[in-house]
Amino acid sequence: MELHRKAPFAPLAATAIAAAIFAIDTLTSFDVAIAVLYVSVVMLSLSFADRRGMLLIAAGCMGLTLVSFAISHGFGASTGAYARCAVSLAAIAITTLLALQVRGGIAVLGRSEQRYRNIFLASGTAILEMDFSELADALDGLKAAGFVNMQGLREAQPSFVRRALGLMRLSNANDTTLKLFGAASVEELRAALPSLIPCEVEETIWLLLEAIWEDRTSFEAESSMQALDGRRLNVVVTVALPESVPKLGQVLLSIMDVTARREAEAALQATQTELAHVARISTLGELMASISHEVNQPLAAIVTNGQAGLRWVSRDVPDIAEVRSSLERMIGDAKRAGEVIQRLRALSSNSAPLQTPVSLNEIIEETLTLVQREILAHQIMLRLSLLEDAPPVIGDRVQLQQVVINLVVNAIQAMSSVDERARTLTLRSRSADGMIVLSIEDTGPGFPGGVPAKLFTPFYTTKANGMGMGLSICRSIVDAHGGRIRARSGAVGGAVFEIELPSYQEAA
Amino acid sequence: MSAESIQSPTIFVVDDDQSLREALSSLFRSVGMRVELFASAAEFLARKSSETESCLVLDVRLPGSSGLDFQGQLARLGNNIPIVFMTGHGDVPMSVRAMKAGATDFLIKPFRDQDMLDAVANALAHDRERRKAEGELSALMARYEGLTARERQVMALVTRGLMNKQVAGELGVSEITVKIHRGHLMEKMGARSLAELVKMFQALEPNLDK
Repeated sequence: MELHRKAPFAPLAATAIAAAIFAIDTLTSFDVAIAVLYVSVVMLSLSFADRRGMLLIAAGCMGLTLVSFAISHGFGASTGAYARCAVSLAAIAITTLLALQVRGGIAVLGRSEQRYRNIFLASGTAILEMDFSELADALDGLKAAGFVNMQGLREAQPSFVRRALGLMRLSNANDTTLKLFGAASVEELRAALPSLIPCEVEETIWLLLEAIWEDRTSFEAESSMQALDGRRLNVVVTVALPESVPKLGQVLLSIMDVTARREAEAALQATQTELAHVARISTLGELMASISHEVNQPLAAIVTNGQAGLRWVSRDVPDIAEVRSSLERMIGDAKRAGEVIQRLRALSSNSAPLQTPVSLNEIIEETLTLVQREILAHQIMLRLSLLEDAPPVIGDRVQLQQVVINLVVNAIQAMSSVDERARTLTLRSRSADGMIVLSIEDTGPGFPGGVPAKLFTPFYTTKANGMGMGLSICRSIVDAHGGRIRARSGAVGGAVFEIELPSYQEAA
Repeated sequence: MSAESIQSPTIFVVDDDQSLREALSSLFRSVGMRVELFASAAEFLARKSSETESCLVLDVRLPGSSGLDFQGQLARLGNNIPIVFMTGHGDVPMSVRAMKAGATDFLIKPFRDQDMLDAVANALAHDRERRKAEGELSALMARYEGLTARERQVMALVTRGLMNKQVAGELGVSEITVKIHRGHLMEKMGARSLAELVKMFQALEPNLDK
């Protein structure tokens, strides 16, 4: 197919054929149009001449036909001879036209071939041309042997995955591929290939085999591979499985290296976790008065109960019933103090976020115990309208609690400047389209100029001592949970913050 | 409520923490004191004011209104019950404010039981004195109300240190008449000497309209 592979003998052959035809045409006088055979010369010219060359050769052939005609017939030719000459000339002309068209088609194909070759070679994506035909044969054999699906095969022959890897032949690979894997040549890569697929990604290979088994035409997966020098690569592999003969003889595998991206994502996530932790600590700092009260209160009760108990026991006639109830209250108080400390420890910890089903109602209750004192101290009325039996949401308990604490503390602080109307904090939850929506509404100053566009961006703050991180952290936490957070003005002028989180439907 | 319990001193505890409330109740009862518990200021106000010797043990941070606001509210209502404040943390400005407004003590949680009992005993003693003073004043007022207008005039002038003759001159009556009025009013007021009468007048004076 390759146009530029010139056959050096073709012009010679063409010349020889043309000379032979001319000789026969001129020297013999059969009643046939020998000159028609010039079409073979025209066809041959396809392989070595360009468009202009072909036209010249065709013109030459026609000229030779006319010369032969003149020599052999002169001017006294029969009507038949004229006709034969005309047929020959027409045949050459028509063939030339057809040949030129074919030539054009070949040129288009060639350019396209060149273009795709360039894309293949120069692409920033690693592309591998592979031959899966042996694998296709093996799978067909297994189908014939009675296996109905990949699951059955997997159970019967767990080692098949390694055999299948051996049956995937590398035909060609582009430079990006070689660079990615650190291979000097396609041959080196071909030799090393099966060993570059770590055992833990066999799961992905099974999925690929399933795609082939089910005659799908493409497959995509994120996986990891190993470079020749042992580097671990995070890759997204796209496999195109076009129809071909033999079956799966030409499979295209593109590999995108997402290692750097994954590393950046991991680093970003670590930073966000760290930032959220710092923000939690600073929120806890703001709540210090409430929290210390929350811990001190049960301690004071323990001390007083203990002292009262001692007095009852030291009386002339000890009152055991009073001593017992003192002791019981002490145990209750100690548990209460322990729970507060437990909650604080969870909030101040810096562990990586977990993904577990958590009840939003529980989070709200725990948050309210932490901020209860603030609510009292600011003389705020609390209204709760929470969805009973709400399905859990999936996420990290501590982070979600941080969001709720942040929004509630914001609401309390916003209302502390309001004296002309009742300070009311309203928490509502509802479910809608598989989402749980929690709204936190205050009767503070709200957003007199509309909700600021930058409300959730870092360093946006309206507080004198604010860092402007609270809401931006809230948003990043809610985003990471596949949810949304938004703000709007309330019905009576305060602010409403709404968080929407996907609810967790237990798998049947 | 029996007649006996009305007589014994009562401690009112206002704290929103149930366990602490009950612990205080237990502590006071262990030394034979009567206790009544309230979870909020509003609950305490709903109760009619006590006729017996009593004091209030109050948490500074209360749901609804702060303990200090409540102190002011009681004062405006004319309820002068002595208050022992409790607080979770040693807030100096707050304790100064409370003491200036007449609190008898300010205890920081957790407190020693003896400190609390002493504070309460002290507050009850205050209340006893207050009630005694109030009782004496009202008896004095009753006696004063029994005087005639002329006798009151004579009393005011005599206690200013005027001689009988000067009083007579001021009122335009004879010295004899002044002597008679003076004898009557000394008797009615139960004063045995002029010095005693002066003291009585000093106690009465701020409570007199004219």
